[in-house]
Amino acid sequence: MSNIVEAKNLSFSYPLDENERIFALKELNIEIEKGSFTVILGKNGSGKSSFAKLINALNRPDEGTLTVAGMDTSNESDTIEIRKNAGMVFQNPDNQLVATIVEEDIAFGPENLGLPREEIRERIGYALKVVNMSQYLKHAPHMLSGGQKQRIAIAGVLAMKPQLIIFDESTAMLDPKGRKDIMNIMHELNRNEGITIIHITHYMEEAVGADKVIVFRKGRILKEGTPEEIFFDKELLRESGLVPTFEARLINDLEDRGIDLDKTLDMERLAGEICR
Amino acid sequence: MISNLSIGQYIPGDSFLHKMDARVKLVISMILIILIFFVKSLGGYIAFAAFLIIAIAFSSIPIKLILKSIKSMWFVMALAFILNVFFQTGQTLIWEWSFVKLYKENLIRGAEMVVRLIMLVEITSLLSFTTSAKELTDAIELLFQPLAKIGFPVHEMALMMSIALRFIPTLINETDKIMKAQTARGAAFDSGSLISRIKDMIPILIPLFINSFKRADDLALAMEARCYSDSAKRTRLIEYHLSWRDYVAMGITAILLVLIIVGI
Repeated sequence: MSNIVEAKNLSFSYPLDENERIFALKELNIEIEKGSFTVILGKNGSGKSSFAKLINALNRPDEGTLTVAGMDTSNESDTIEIRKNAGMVFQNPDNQLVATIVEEDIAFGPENLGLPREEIRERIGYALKVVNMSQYLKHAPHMLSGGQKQRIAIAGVLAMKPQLIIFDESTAMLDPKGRKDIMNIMHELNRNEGITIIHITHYMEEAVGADKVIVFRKGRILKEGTPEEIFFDKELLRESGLVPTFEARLINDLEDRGIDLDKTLDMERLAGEICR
Repeated sequence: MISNLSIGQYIPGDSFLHKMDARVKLVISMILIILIFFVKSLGGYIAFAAFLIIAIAFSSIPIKLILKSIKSMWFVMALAFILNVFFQTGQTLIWEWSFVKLYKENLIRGAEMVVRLIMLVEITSLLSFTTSAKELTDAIELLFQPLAKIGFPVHEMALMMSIALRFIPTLINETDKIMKAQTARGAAFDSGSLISRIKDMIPILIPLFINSFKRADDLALAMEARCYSDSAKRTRLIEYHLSWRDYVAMGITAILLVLIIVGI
């Protein structure tokens, strides 16, 4: 399979004051496969959000190249095409809805693309169905819950029919139920619609079930691997300050006390292991 | 504290008024608002009221809601009535008690004022009940389109208006949160003199203001991420074209206009 996002030697900095710049990302090499589910983990200031904005061509690289869906993000004439292919859902659900009625908000993206009206209507129907909000077509967004607003934001991105959706800490402001709903939708989008997902978060448990996990620290990649490879790397956990799920912590602690269990993130398999 | 958040008054529906072109509704509302001050006779008022009653009947808006919007203006109406009745001199004195004098002409004028205000509220609430914020801003954009030729940023204006409307409930919610957070820490907003109460608002307004900038920043990014650019050729979700409903409404308005101007 081909790569949908390819970063080669990518660096990005922003100005601190007139003659000093702070590096947000330094010499990054990342490949993200088309159709995969990638989770980027990192604490605040690790550069993960900067990376998200680079993919969407909201920022441009200082050095190196970033290719999204075969287009170079440094190339300004491709900006709209890149944004069309790589949708982005942000953190604050309130601050990314533009219209006073749900359907009008979802229409915003397709309207900007200048699509024909019938096509837009069709896409609104499709997008709302995917996020399971069809009955809210004519609702006012401010009457919805945080999780529901976030689902509308996802629908707004879906209506542009992107190949890739970046979730930039989209679960951070939600309650546990809203977070779970959004996680389920992400996996559904990946499985059923074949959309590549890049999920940026600092909740480690949200990396369970991902194809690939990339841990960022201070603008560099600390480690890249499957969730299991990350969750059971005690050295890495100490260094990055990330807190893995209960299951992983239990297995890691038991290992320290000399009890070796099969390294699994699945609760039921773990229970079976312990009973054995 | 702030419980009712129905600022966008739009009530979705399928009625005659809902289906009318927002431009036509807007223009007719403007004409009616001006026309109401040219009504001179009882016949004129009856014709006007009949027009509005027909409009309500064809709007599928519960009459209770319209009465509620009129009720919310009772203070203005009462004030207008009192000013007109007691603070002018007339000719036909009908009742007198010490310095209070009641003139027949003033009573009529006061009643007229109240009727006019009721009708004004009714026109504007009918418009906002049956027209979504988006339709309204689209209508303004389309009506002012000719100005774009001389470089007036019509589209940007309309977008600004719709975003402002979109964020009113969000900001009200936020104000409520800030007030509650400060009340929890001992601030009192409902006591003290007027000046101290105004001063109490400053610690609310500052965080609100700062957060608004953050929101504006976020929103701009989100809009850009969704391919918004000032040069793009945009489609409009809602198609605006005049239908038979609009011609019927324009016809009836024209009849009313003639009736009032010739002065029945």
